[in-house]
Amino acid sequence: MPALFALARSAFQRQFAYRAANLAGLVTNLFFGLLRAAVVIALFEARGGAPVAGYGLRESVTFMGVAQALIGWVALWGWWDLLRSVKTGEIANDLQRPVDFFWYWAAQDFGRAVSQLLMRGVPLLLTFGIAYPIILPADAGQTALLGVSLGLAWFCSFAWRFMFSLVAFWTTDAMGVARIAIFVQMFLAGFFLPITFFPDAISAAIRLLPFAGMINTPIEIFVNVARGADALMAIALQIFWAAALYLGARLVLASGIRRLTIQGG
Amino acid sequence: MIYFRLIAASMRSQLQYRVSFTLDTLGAFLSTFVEFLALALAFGRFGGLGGWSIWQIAFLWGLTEAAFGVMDMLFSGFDPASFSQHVRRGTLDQILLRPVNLIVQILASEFVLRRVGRILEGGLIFVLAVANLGIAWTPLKLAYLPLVFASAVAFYGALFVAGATLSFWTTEALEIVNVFTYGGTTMASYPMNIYTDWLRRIFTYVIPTALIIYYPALFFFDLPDPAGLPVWASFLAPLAGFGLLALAFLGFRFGLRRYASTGV
Amino acid sequence: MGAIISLEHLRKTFRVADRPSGRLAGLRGLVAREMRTVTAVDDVSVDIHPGEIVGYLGPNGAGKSTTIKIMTGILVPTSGGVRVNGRVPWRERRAHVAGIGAVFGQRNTLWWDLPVQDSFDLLRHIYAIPAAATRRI
Repeated sequence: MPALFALARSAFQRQFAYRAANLAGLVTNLFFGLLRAAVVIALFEARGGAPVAGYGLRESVTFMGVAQALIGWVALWGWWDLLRSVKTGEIANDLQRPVDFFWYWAAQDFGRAVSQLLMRGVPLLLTFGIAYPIILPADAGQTALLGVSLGLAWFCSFAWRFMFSLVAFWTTDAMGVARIAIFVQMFLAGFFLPITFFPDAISAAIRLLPFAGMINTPIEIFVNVARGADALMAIALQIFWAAALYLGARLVLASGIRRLTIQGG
Repeated sequence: MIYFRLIAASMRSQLQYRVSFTLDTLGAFLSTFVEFLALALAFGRFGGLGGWSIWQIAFLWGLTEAAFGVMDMLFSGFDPASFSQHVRRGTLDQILLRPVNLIVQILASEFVLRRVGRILEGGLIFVLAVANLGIAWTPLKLAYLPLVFASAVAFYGALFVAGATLSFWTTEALEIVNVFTYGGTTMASYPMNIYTDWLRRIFTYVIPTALIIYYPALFFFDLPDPAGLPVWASFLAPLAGFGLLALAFLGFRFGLRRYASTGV
Repeated sequence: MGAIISLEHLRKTFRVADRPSGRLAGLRGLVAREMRTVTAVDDVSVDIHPGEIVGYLGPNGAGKSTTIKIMTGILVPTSGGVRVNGRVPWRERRAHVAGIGAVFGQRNTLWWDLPVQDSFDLLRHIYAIPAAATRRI
């Protein structure tokens, strides 16, 4: 456990080395947030401001800001560290460490995620909140649910990314496959627009997939669209997918290692 | 010409890896298509955006994406993300030591074929838009369309060149250029009247993104400008696009004096 | 006969940023960044005449490569003058590099993703060498 903590802390600190890059990234994410808010405001104007399935104008504008703020937390634009280490064969070193391989990477990714949230997510939302009136979680209970949901969102996203990076054991084109997965996943996670905005049948189906829990679920709790039993149901689904993705990641890792030892890297 | 020889050589080597090329092209297609898909799927609940229909937005979207894709392919060598690597590693030396025009060499130094995916995506959305819009075509409109497209390619090319120039000063803060390149394309994919005044003014008068596709689109749709600019604003695109590209090349030559050639 | 290469009071300085280290260094770096000027080449003058073979020696960091890079037109000096073959290298870059040869350590002048023969063919076109003057390997 102390080893995992040290790994997370060092990954957390490493992010601070890229000061200018992070500042530039923050400005870019914020700019996109402002554009997306303008789009959603124009959409609601066309409807005379009437809410859609619990989303009023303010909830929807807040959704855009929070979605932009969570990009770093769930590494939405891709995460190549593990994939690269499989490709270059460095993975052989990591596998020999006295720390479990899955948690070795999870700890580092958690450190990265926390620093991205603090360095980019929080300042982004604060600035966004000055430009547009945003909504905050209604009470302490809702905030606690948000915390749990955010944690699960990170874990689901990590387990999924971990599994996907290991595709590099089998193909040299893992990068191309991963890039396609990223865009499909952004759509299915509800990154662009709340999933509820899609036609009923489509939104009902997308909700059941593991990706909704990475973006859409925590934001619905943030803007108080999902409350009480609804929120608990959504979190239960996140827990289900967290477990399923964890098992999946373990299985893929095991067969990847088998392949590695047979082929000798 | 040496440009075509270099490009042909680069294309040959990219096409050697067929699977990788196909996957990358599909990725480039999806990169912004999923965003349009999300908007189109949600549109049913809203029915309009700033007074524009989904196909009018598709017109802006398709034209912007296709032009940016063509630019991204032609100007890959100036892509700030990859050009800054040359500056950081000092590998621009090689290019400076060859007796061929510098800009031609940089343009030819990379030609990322997989960008064709984004061109196809923009093209598809544009064709769907035109098929559904019923634009009152006139000879002038038909003649102006390719010019608008070329101007957009030049305009986004100018932004890439400006970003590449910036890398002589900083390689770390370069992501800021994304605001104007990727942010600019997203912005140009929607009607300008939905943005707050200060944002709209900056992107009309400082970095004239609005003049490139949006104002010409008003002309194609026979719509007046809600912000009150006269009709000729729709015809400034070539001046803005090619003028900025020329300026950007001049600025690049100036920035080159700062090249430090780090390394051995 | 006059000098074929002449350097007059050549100077080249670089501005570099100091990277702070230690605790919270990254955070401090966000706020302020210390810049410092490094003089790589300091008042170098030399004349080289046709037929001369010249060695240029010095310890690491003495500014040897910087001098050569200015002479080849890669870098622009901060002050001072350079003439090679009667040209100012960085002002008439194309004409200048067409007439010189330069090999830098650890730098590859070929294309990593092309067969060697194709690389040589490209270079032949770049330097406008007639096919008859080359021999396939």
